[in-house]
Amino acid sequence: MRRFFTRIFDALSSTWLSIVVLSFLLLLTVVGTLEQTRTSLYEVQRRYFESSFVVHDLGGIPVPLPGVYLLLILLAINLVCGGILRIRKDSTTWGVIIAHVGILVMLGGSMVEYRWSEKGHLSLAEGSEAAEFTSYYEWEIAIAEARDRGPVTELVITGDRFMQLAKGKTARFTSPDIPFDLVVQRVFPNCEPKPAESGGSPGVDGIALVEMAPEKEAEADVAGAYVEVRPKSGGAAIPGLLWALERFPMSVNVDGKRWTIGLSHRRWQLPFSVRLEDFRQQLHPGTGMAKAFESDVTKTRDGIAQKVKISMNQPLRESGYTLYQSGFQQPSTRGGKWRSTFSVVKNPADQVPLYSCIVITAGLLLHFAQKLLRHMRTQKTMWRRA
Amino acid sequence: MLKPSPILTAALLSFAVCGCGKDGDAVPIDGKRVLVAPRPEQRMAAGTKMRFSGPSMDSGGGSAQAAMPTLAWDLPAGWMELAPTQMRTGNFSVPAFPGLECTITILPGGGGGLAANLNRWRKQMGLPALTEADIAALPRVKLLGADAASIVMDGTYSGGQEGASPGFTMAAVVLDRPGAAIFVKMVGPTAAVRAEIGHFRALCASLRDTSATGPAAGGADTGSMKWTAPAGWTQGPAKQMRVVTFVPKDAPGVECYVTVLSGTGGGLTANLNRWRDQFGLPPLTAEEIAALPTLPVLGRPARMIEIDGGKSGLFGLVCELGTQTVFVKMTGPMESLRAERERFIAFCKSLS
Amino acid sequence: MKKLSFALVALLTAFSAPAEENHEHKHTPAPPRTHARWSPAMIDLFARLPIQEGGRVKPLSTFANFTLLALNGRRGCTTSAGVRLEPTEWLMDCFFYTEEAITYPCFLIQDAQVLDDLGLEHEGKLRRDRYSYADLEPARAKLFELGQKYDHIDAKERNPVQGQVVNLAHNVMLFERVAGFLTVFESTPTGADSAAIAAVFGKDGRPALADLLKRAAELRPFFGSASDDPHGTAAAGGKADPAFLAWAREFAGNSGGIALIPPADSAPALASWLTPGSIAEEALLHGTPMPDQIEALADLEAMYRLRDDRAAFASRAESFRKRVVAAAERRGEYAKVPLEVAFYRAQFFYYAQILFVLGFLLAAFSWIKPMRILPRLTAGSVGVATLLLIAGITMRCIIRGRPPVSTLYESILFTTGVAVISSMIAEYLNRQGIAMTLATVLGAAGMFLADRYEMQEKIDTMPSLVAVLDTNFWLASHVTTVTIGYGAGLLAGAIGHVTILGRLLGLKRRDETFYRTLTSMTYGILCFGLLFSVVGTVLGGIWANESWGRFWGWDPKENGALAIVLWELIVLHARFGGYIRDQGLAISAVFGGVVVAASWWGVNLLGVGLHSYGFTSGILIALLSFFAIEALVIVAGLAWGFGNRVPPDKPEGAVTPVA
Repeated sequence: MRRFFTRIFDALSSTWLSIVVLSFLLLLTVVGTLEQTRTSLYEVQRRYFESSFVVHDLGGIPVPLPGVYLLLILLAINLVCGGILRIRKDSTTWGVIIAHVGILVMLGGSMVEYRWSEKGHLSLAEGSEAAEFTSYYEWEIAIAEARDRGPVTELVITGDRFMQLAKGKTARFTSPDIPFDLVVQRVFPNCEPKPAESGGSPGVDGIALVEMAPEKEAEADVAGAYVEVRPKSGGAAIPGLLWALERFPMSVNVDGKRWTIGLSHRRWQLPFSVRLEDFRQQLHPGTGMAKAFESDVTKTRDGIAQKVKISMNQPLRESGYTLYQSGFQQPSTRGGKWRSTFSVVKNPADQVPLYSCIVITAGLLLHFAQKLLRHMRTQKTMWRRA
Repeated sequence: MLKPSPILTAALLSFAVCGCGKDGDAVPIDGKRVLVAPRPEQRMAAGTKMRFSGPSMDSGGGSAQAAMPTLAWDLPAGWMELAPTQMRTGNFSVPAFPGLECTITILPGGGGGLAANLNRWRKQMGLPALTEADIAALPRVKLLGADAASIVMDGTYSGGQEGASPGFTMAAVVLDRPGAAIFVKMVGPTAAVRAEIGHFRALCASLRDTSATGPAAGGADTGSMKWTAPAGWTQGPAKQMRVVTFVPKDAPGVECYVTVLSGTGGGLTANLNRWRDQFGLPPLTAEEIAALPTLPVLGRPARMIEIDGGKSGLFGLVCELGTQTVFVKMTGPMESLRAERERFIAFCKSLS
Repeated sequence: MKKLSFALVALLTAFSAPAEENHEHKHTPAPPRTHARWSPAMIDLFARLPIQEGGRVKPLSTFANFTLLALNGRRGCTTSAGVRLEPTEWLMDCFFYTEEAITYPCFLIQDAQVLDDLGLEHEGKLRRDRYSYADLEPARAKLFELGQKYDHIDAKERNPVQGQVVNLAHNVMLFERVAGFLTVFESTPTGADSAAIAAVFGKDGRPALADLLKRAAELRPFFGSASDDPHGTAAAGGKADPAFLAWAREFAGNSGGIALIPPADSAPALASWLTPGSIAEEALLHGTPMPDQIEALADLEAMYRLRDDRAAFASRAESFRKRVVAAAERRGEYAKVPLEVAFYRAQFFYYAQILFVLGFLLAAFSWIKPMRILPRLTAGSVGVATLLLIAGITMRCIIRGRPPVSTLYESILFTTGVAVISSMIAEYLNRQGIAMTLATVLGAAGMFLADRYEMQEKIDTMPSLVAVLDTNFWLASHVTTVTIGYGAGLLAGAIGHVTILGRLLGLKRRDETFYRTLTSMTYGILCFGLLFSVVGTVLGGIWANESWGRFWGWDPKENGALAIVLWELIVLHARFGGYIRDQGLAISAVFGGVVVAASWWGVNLLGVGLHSYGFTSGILIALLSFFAIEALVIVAGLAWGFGNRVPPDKPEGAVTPVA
């Protein structure tokens, strides 16, 4: 039995495994880069770089490959077993071990980021204010009681629970806070509403959702879904359809109260609100090229307001969230307002890459400097002998 | 070397198993979010119609949409088309004159009337209002076949975000017709406007209404067109302005689609020569067009043209039905086109 | 814009002679040169004039250089009379002798098919030949129409002729902007044709533009409140003078031309410099007083009118120069201009290339006839060339105020520097002579590549940078480190070539030390390269995190850097594990060079991602040729390796000694 585990450990710590994993990583990197000319980056990322397994289409021939997620896990195991535990520990190998530790730290940081980070954007016109940001790719269904004023609690069903619904399958969502269940019957990653006759599908109230091919840029996809509201008290089921660019959410009356159900990009709340006071774009004189752009915002947290400037390469950091100046929109009419777009990120492992970089550099420098000195000493001996 | 380890394999396989939700079981909703105030869109009890109005609803729409025309135009040389916005059906700029912009706006319900709009613009240009008599005396030009008021004003433009801009000129053409008013407006530095006024006039002259109107008397109803798809042709994704799109499976790069335009859709000659021009070929004379082969489509002789542009080409069919015109177009690499020629002809003939 | 071209056309018709029957070229023959050539002192004065272009203040000579390069494909222009003009001289002719400049054949057309498309004759001309503005003008409208049409086609889909039409349209617009912008001085209204001028200057008044502008306040009432609308809407009364209005709107609204005149001292830091048109606009239409600028304009106009009286011209030119330079200095915008003129005059990279080639010839000669002095001469040649290269790079840094690598062009210079310096260090450590020879080869190749790239892109190699690159810290750390990694990777590949080709050709068969040294050099440089590539890639991620909030986005350029790191790791681990030895290392290093080239150049051609610089078919062809050659070398190396296998004698996991 002990021999069995020794052999497993030998395999996991072998240089051969390092080479295989690194080679597959290289292959996936090349394939994933070329694939981006055909498919959106978001799709490529999902299929090749965040998965354990991918089937690549090589001119019609399906080629199964391990995904980068799996490869990085194997790499981490190999680093620990071979690069840290099994490796000879003497003055010649400390540099390498330190470098390996640095890489492990970096891999750990990226795992944290993958699981626990929130990324989205916030777009504000001059003079407007917001306290939440929106995902570029993820979706959500939000159910809320319709009110004119006052606090509202939204029930949120995140996209991972319904977007991958296979055709023909449905998903039923329930909550003690609402007098009905929501059944999601059919989901379209990218679609548009059309009058029911032309679509071919039955539709709701004469409107049907027509599926479209995914856009080259996944942020441009507009999702839609056929849903059904089933009152718990036994009334008739109300069919409906949701579309991400609808002007208003679906509105239903159940048990005497009005509820709204809307499909949109996933939103996260910020523990502070941001108001855009002014956006400035500096152009290189005599050209249309942007030299710099920056936004003056007022950040209000717990009632305390603070004026901050956000510009390219100088983000705003507050309460674990970071706001980056990502882009802007010119007004489309004369007299219109400028819009400033911020990229919002919550990443607990934000500074990990910097620390790991320092560790890796130190380790590699140590190792290669040692090697160089040894080489020079050997050369001197050779010349003296000659 | 290394023998594949069973434990490793099992571990790897376990990754392949993904958690799929079982059909029908109720999943509890656990996401919650408290908002300080309801979202504006949540305050409306909106019915389906209110939730889903927009341009994608127009194609194949009923008579309720007839008042909002869909416009087409010929882009003048040196002009660039920008993305349309909520207010601007046509949105243009001229790269040679950065301060210049031209827009086409359709306002349903008349938008307030001719006088109100003209004087609003006069105010924007820092000029006094015009009296009814002045407005009646304005020259008229033809826009979409009707008389439209035309005006050119010089002044200090204050409709922009930079505040007052002196040395500006606004040229506008306003068509006030029941159901919708159409404005074509160009604003910019005076030198620029003067330089481009010819192109502006040409743009107005080229404006045409291409909305697919409902069933009209005496014409074939193409809202319920039928066809037989040839072997090996798969239906492609639905697209704006097209009745149907086909993609032959064995012919890479080839696409065939059907569009219907009201009226003459520009006319047989204009369209055939426009297609020829796209491939850098000179226009055809009237005799050459009359010599083109015809196919019986929808009960009429429709002209068919085969354009060989060298590497790629176009097969086109124009079927004039009087109140509407049906176009069938197939484009792609020349070799693949030739291979699909018979199927194209069969498809056209199968339209009914 | 239209006004300028009409001016040019007017000049054309005024000055063109009827085509002679027996003239070989059908273009309008040049009128006999009516003016003397400019004196070197005058050319130097103009070369040093500051202008603002492309977002930065630069010397007129830089602008002339790159404009002529873009139009003509050469750094000079030969008139049809056989006179060879350097760029600044050509530009001066365009300014002051426009009627002749339009007959200089300064438009390079690669394929006469373009002229066929435009409907122009080209009998008697070669397929690839040069044409003058006068030759092209008849088809101007068609050129712009076609240019606009083809511009909408995606660059990858365009055929070469369409691409050339688009280029030609841009070049013609550029020429129109540059040439003849001073001819506006001819069109100032006189008292005879304008009531406004008559009122202020008298019926016979023929004011210079500067005088007109100085009295702008008196002329403003003549704008009136009328709108001379051809549709005849209600025109209020008043003193409106249509001729003057028309001229004012045409000229004042037109800000085309060269921004030669600095704005007021009080204008903000990034304010645009002024052209004659914009000065007129400010003075006439906005009523802004601009005494200094109008004086400079007066000098310019006097220069234009006195162009044939060279003595008077020289004195006005000097006055203009003094005024403009003083204004620029007050704004702190002149400091780097003389330095830039000196930089381009010194031609550092040209001389470096010559010295590298000389070094190579010396080294090659020493293979045939070894002499003790030759290695020293080679080293000397390489040393001086490297110093020139470093001097050039440093001067560029000073002029731009930026770290050494901020554009693709500069990455070529820096990579070459890294490769050459690393070779020299390797030579010092190993003393085999081969590293020094490699330094000459890589140095010459790098300088040649830089020159060809500049000739192909034809734009200012010191452009303004986009917002995200506006940070010196990250440019200095990330970009420099990654570029050092490129240099090391390519050098290792070059040494690999020597190993493979040496073995194949049976060079130094008895001398195992030679090949052992090569192997250890390859290994050492790979390690060095790995260090910089890893650090550079991680720094890039940190920069992206600071700017955009995401450390790694799988962007093609990022993936390229990662590929280099992964490959170098694979090679080093394979050597550690004993899976490859000398020949395997050499082959792997050559492949590493391919990975570096693909990452450096190839990713830009894909057209996706943040680093896409646009598709250039020239680069694609060069890159593919490089890949093909490297593939042959690798196959040859493998063939030799499998035919000459040494039985494995090291257990797995041992560290292979380096010596």
